[in-house]
Amino acid sequence: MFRPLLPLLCCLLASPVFAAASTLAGTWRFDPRRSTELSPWQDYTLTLTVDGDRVTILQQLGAGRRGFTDKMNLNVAQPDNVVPVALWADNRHIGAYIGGDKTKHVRAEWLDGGRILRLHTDLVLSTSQGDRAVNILSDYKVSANGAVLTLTELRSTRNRPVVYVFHRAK
Amino acid sequence: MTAPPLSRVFSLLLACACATLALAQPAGTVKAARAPATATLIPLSENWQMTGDLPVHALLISLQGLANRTAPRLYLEYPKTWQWEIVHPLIGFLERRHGVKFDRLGLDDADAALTRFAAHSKGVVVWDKAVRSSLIVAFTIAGVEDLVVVNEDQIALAAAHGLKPVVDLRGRFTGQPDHVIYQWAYDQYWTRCSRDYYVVMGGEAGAVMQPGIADFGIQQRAFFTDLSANPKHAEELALLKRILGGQNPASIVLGWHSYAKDTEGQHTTLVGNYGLMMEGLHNLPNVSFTSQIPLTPEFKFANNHHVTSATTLRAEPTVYLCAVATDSMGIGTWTKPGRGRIPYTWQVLMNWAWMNPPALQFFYEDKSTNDYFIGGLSGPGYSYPKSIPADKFPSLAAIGRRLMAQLDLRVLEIMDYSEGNRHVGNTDLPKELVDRYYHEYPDVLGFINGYGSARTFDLRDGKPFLSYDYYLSLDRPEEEAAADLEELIQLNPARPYFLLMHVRERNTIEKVANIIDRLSEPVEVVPLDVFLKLAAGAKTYRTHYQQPTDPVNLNP
Repeated sequence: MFRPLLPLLCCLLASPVFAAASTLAGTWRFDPRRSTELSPWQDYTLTLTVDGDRVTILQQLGAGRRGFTDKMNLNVAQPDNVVPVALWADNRHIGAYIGGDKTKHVRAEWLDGGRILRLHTDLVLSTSQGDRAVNILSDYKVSANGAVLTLTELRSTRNRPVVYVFHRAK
Repeated sequence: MTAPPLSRVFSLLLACACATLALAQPAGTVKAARAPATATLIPLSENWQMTGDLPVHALLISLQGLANRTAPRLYLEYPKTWQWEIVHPLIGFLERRHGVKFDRLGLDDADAALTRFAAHSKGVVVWDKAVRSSLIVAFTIAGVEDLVVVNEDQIALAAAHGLKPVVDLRGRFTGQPDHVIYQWAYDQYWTRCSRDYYVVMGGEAGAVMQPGIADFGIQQRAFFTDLSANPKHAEELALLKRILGGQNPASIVLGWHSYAKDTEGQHTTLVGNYGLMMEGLHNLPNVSFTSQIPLTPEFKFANNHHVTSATTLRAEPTVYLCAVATDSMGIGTWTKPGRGRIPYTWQVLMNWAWMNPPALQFFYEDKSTNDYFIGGLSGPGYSYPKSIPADKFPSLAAIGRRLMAQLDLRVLEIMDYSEGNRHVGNTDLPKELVDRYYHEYPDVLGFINGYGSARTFDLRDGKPFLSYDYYLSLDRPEEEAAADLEELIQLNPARPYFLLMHVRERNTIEKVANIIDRLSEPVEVVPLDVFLKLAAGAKTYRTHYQQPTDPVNLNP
């Protein structure tokens, strides 16, 4: 009896209607105990804003008197979002810097009814030997109770995943 | 033949004068013919609280500076937890290699110390327990007036040894900000202080002070402050600029910036602006003693060289890794397990050749076959080359060249955090500065650059200029560090790949070796001179300098 409704349900789960109500939206504070070691940064705050197809990810990294803020505006409906990159902040221990035309190409999609935001990112990093294309798969997942956000990043050049855990700011 | 124009004669004379100045050693560090047969040793406790044992330590340190002014007589045994960890090994070295017999007094025994050395003092200067900065002013006065530093609780003890108050700072600075306090000291004493040494008595702030370098500052009659280089503190900065601008060219700034006021970057940049040499360890102890101890007669500084300037090496299609430890030998891991396990490079603070000869002799004699020494940091002392005016650079480089030759060093390490650091901004050099280094240091095997990773690379006449591709943070777990190195190896696919790694301070060699053992791809760990020769023969790195479009983050 319900079988004909299943495709409709799937469409609804992936639709912006669910995205708009995503539990991802909000401000998230870094939990160093449960995360991949963050140095050279000491603090990390994520703020996600969801407005229909539009998602804004505000990344605030801090270390002592220095900090870095990056705001990424994405349209989930667009197959390719071209985002300017001022600084590649993901791993400042290694000699890799934003290269190419200093942009990244990002495709975003909602999964599981807006519980997961998945980003497919292509960018070019500049190293001592030259430019190198890199792909990053990032999953922003909210826990069942909506209190914990886990960001898992798989970089094509890194053998280990990077896992950052955040708690919803009160 | 016509006579040269007067302007040329003047230029020549000026050049000769500059050259003489550049080769001169700062005054007041005349070596004794030999180390003393006997010396007094006083152990110090671990408490450096203003309301704890600091007063007795300040008394002893000031007494040490005066007692050692004409000969090395008093050595203070700092606690085993002291950041500069060579205090204790150096005692054994002085006994073994110089035959010094130490007469050990009791812990913090000021009474016994005054019994022996009060005659070197003309009285006491009393600092105000309620005003921390008054102690720093008291250090200046101690050097200028030959006074021991005491607080009101110690006046009776000093009097029992015939030392009466000559200057009393109690109540003088109540409620005054530091720029007013130090202005008073400047007006009263600066003209009588050394033009060769200025002491930044910073580091820890508030309830703690660790004035390990103060004995040397007092011995040299240096002016002491903890003035801020932070533009937010305009009055302090103005006075600090006046002080630095009044010192001799290429003279010494001892000590370290105040953690409560400004940043390392602000302080180092400002010192560079005046073309001065910073010896940046505020808790470096016993220099009034060790600066007078000559090298043993048969000793010559000899490095572990693996190549000569004429050597040509052919690199294999592999990954070459070289690990370099900086951050001042003696506050890192020299005494920790693992040294000798892999080839390892150590940056030598070159001014210690005259400031702390026994310490350098200790390191050179204690080195394993896998330890290799290089010069730094950016020249003699610690400086940011971008902050040094071009006309002040050659005289500093002349000192650097002389010290490198004396210390048998063939590689120079450079660091510049004047426009950024490991997080933001840039740590690179423009081509003009790279040109200057190649010009001023023609005899090196090569240069290395950075602290965190950097991207200045070059190769000229077989001499590479390479930057660190990796910074091993203290916090980085081994598995993440191994993943970092593997990522770099992925990101740099051409072989040979030259992976230069900076190892931060207290990371042990054991940790570095364990990280390398975890790598899924074999790498060859080589000493830096071999690394540079291999890199000279296979330029798989791109020439790159700081670009005008690079981000700049001046020190906040």
